[in-house]
Amino acid sequence: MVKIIEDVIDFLKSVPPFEFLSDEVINSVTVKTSLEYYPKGTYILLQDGAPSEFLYVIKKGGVKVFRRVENEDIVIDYRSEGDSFGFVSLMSGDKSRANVVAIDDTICYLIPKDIILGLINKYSEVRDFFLRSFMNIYLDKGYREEQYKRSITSTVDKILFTTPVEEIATKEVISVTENTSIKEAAKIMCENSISSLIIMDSNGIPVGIITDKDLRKKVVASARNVDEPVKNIMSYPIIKIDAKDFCFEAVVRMLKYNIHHLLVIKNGKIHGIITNHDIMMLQGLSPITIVRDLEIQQTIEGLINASKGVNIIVGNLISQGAKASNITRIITEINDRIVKKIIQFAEREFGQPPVPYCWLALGSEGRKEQTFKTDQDNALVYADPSPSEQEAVQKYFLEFTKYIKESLLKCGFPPCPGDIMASNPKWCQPLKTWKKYFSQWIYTPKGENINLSNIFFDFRGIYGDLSLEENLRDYLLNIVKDQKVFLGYLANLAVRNKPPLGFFKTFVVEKSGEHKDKLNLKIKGIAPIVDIIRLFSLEKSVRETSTLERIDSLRNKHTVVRDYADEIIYAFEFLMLLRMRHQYEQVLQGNVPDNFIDPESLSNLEKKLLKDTFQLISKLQDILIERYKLMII
Amino acid sequence: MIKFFRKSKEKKLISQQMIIDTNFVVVDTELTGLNEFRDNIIAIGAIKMIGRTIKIGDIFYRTVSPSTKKFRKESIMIHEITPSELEKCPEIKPILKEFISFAKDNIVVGHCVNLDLSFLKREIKSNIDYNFEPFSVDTLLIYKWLIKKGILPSDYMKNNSLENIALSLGIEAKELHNALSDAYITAQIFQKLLVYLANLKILTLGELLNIACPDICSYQDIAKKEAYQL
Repeated sequence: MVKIIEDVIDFLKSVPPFEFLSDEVINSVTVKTSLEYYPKGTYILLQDGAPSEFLYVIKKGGVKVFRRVENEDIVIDYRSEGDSFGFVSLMSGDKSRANVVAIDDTICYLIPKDIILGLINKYSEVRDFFLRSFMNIYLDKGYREEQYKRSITSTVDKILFTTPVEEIATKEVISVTENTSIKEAAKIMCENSISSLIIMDSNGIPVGIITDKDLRKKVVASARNVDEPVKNIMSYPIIKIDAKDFCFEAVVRMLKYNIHHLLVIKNGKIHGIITNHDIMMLQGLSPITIVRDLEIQQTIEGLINASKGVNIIVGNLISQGAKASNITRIITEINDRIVKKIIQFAEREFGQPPVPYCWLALGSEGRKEQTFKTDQDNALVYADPSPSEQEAVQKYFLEFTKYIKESLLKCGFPPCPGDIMASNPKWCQPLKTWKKYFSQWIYTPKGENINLSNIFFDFRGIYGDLSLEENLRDYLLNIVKDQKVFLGYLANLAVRNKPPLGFFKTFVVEKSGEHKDKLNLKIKGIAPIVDIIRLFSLEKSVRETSTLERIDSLRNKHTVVRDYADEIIYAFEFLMLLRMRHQYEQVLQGNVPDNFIDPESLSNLEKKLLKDTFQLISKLQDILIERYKLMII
Repeated sequence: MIKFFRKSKEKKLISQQMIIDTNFVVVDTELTGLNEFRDNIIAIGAIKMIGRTIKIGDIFYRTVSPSTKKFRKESIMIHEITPSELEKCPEIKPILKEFISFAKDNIVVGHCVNLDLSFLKREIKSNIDYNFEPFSVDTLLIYKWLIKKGILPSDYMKNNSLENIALSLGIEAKELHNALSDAYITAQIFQKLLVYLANLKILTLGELLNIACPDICSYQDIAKKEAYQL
């Protein structure tokens, strides 16, 4: 083998998507590759300039990809060794969409267009890679430029790879014959509010399509006589796609032919039309649209439908590289919205409640740390009624909460196995009873009481009279802060689960059972941090419930947090994101999300971060043991 | 005389050609020694370029059985091809023919290209009776010219070896003294030097040849000798 070719092969092998290819294939790519040198400051591709004829893979140096919009440079990305650029205009072939400038002396391997197209057609890994990396640049073409940056930095969500075309295609296809006049065709399009019309020949075979664009460009702009037949302005041939193909296939074809409409064929017959707009809608589900959508729903069924996109949003956010805390914040916002809506429906159903009440979220929901739809954990507190109305009030709220529980279930929130729900009479109580519960748990911290306090003390008011929540929190923080015995019990709980890191820096994983060789991220990583931070918050009368907000509030109040705040935040974000990604994979595969991660599936960097995280937890636990040493049992 | 005439006529034709559209072949040879009359080629490495673009797949590399059996110990030390290895190599004739068809109509580029060319010309003439008379460009001459122009630092003047020049320009120089690797390194040097020339608005082949054609320049012999004092 020739040494210089070998070097290129070795390089490409370390770079996605070539790493997925066999040596032979890489070799065949290499012999068509050229090496180009761009001194610092060279414009390699120009916005709106000629399309790229190559895929540029950076061997050395780096480039800045940016767009100039209204005299302002929007940096889209920086790419460095092993990254590539030039793909989108290579695929679409019309024009380069951004400027690419060398920010250092840069050497690139240039792989010719036909080689890349060949790889994309032949190897799904290559296709998937490029689609994920670059496709949104194409899809947002119709969007306003200001939105460019936002969507360009996001990657195509898995949904493109899992949704068959037929699911989102417009089923109703309206067609006309090729001799129909332009005027008539435009009228039909208006009447049906459609943006495209299929043109059939005399044998009923689709031969072309006219779209809004054709009418604009070929009729209005060129002052064509509208009595001419549509065949004079139709676009052809019409590109087809099978109904069973996944949406990314549709994207590939739109890109390849630089068109926005595809004819969907099912069992040899016309089934519908799919447009780039359909695809944008599919992946463009934004948290804002969901929230807005939820807001206008008036029935449980409507809510169920509107809340369907939540998992997609989470997936989008994950693939966009959002921070875990931002994702959980958005999920919290959406879930809170669903709960509020359901409670409003319940009020509508049962009439206004006899006394003020407040709906409380508990556990992870209370801490705003929910990821995917998890068990219901909630409670209800109502204003103390007079003894005479007690019974009626109790009855009202039990029916009320039962309705809410069932509605939440319909929306995909399974009931809590431990029955910690407002529908359980025990957890649907007046304020005074709640105070009694809290004081009992704190003054006699044993067994179940400790566990309950861990769940309930993260309570957060979601709906109703929030002064009830405030009142209860004042009470709690007031009685808990000097209860050294109780806090000692909590400390004991927080150090109970040692991080799974032995002295030899290898992971200690589950030894047997279904999750053998897996790591329970929640119990071994997330829970210890949550527990430690809750303990500190109760010590220092912090009112926040979310772990990250608690850390921020504790910065100036607690010496341990002061010293470690940034590290803890980083570790917590990392663990949450790992868990979220894992659960998202499971959701996509149709499995129930769990917390068991296979350490071997992590990248080396992630393994290292995880070890650092566990070392931090271990350190915090040691500090805790030191501070509470008399209390540890 | 006729040859000279032909060449000068061609030269007019190509002098206006743009460098970026020009086909180059970057060549390096490994030799049994440096004596033009006694020593022989044992390997030819070449890689094509179009303007500044290096065509990685467009390469030529052959080892040949030298017509002289006399090996110099010191050259074995340099290129690490042992006599016994060369015994197995094919005859030079067909390889020279292959090389000619590979390099045909390209401008030959090399580090001290005259040395390689003089061996190639002689071997080609004596083995297959063909006059190999390509235009040529010496990267060392461009390098020295850029130093004189003050574009490259003057302390680079001491650099003559391929390795030092490569390093001074930030080019990785590995697998030195393999004809193809050396040709590849030379190509990368040429690539960078052409950028400097382009910055000076030197864009046509004619201007390039004026700077870097060893036939025209006077100090090539000195350069050659300096370069090979390894």
